[in-house]
Amino acid sequence: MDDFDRLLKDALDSDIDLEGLTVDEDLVASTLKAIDEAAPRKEEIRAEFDQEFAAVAAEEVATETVSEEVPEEATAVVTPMYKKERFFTGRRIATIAGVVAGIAAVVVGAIFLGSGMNLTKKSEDASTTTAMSTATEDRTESAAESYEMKGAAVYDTEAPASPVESAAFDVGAAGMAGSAGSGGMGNGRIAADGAAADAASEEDGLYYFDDDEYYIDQKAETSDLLNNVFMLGDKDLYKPILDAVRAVAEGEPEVSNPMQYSAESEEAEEPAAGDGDGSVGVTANDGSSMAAVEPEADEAEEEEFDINDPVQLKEALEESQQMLKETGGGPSDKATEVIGSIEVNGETVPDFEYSPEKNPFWVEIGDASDEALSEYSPLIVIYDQDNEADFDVCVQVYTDRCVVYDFAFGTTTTYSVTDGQALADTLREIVGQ
Amino acid sequence: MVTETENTVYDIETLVREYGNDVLRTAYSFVRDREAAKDLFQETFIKANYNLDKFRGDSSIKTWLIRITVNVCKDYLKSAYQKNVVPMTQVEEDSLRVEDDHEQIENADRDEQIRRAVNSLPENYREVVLCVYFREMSVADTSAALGVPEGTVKSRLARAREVLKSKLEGRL
Repeated sequence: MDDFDRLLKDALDSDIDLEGLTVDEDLVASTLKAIDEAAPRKEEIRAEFDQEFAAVAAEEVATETVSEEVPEEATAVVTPMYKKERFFTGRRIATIAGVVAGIAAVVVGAIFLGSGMNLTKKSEDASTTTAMSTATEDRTESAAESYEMKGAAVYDTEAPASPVESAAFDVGAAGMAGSAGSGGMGNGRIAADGAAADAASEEDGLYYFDDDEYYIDQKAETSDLLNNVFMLGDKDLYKPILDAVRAVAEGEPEVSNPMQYSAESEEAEEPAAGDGDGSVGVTANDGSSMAAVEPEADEAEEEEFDINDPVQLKEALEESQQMLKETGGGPSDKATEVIGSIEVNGETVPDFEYSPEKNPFWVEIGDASDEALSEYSPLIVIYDQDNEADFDVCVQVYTDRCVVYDFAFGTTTTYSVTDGQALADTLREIVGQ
Repeated sequence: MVTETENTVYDIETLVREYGNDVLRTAYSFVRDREAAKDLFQETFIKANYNLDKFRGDSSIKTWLIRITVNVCKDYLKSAYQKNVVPMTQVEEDSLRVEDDHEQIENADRDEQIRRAVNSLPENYREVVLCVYFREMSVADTSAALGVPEGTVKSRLARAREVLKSKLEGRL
């Protein structure tokens, strides 16, 4: 126990409100009486007890394992730690993706309203890398500062990643972080300025973390969903989102009702990666400059989901959580059998090759190809080597940077990974090693 | 109200007397309301009494009771009532105290800031901090009490410390 631990313990022990908070005879007597009076409810109480403990057990157990083959994009510089059984029906994908796309839509809509779409030519300024390096150096700045999407407004001209796709997650990150990087743009990328993000935050507090109270209930639920979505790391899952945001950026026609999307029917096929047939439509409040990716498949059972309706949002969240429980949203027993490593810009990121002796954590990569690395920005979920601890952190790797999403604490930080070491250091810092 | 578990006989009244303070203070640390804590205290022991036969002795009886307390508190905090009703602000009794010792005042202020920082942590992290630092439970006991793997307890603890340090930087 170091000094900080001691301070922490003393502070908790010295809570003035605890003074005199002891069990007295009155409380003992009234408790025993309450126990007697509760006797007729004994079975009900036992059932409640079982339910509570079962709920905790369900949360802690990562269930189903695996049956699917590794995708053949196996020039993979990234090896997936494990794979999950494919369980997404079109409806499920639409439900989850729609909620996330809706979140993006809220942010994008707010950005558009607050500052207008501001497309500029891609900057060839080599200072972009410098900016990102600055972000890395600023890692130790206060939590509030780390909310900023440093480097979000810059882009390496050499980077093969799709700018629009990057924009999708940048925008999403802005939503989670509560503020976004400055409003520069490159080649169709969307960037939010702080004022617009703040305005959006006031307009729809559901999707924003603010500096003072970063984990209120509604936000927690939203971040939980995002966490799970990211954990799945399924390209098919977020492809529709990317497509939707791409459509937005390209100024395709609007969809009539703001903040709604169309969920495709249960019978519809899963959107295949690259097909762009996800059924997510994204609209702006003003209806302009926004678009939808229309499903080519069955639209018979369209249903509207109003993301501003807390009841519907809650139902969607619960449904997705239930799906994860049923199908297994965590690491499988086989996870530790596979070794993961990651390569950025042709070089293996130090310390990412799994070695229990050397490395306190291992990584799971959502997609397994360099194509995915560049195009889809695969996501990493960090667990410890015992496959037990979920750090509530996802890392999204681009060719020129990585973005660390900290869902537990609602922060998003961008780091340069040109030398790989920054990413490793970041992750080591996150897991407290 | 007597249950035997692996050679140990538990009487609910004995449990109330022996572990009551632990349960009451744990409940209070979660809900920050004395009356609510007492209600939850009763609920905890009602549940414990009717489920004592399910206690298998995998952990200590105290850990088992704390786990029930945590579950009861979580349910309380999640309840619609709790979400919609803000408890009346308690009178800050300590504000009436005369603090003539400057260092004491500073320490009290520092402790208050720390407690606020702890209370602002996400629930998953706060409960780990409270179990380990406040209830002085081991990682293993905390794991058993909260129903999460030990690795998760460790990681949450590590991250909570980092966040607390960051939030309290310059104030300690």
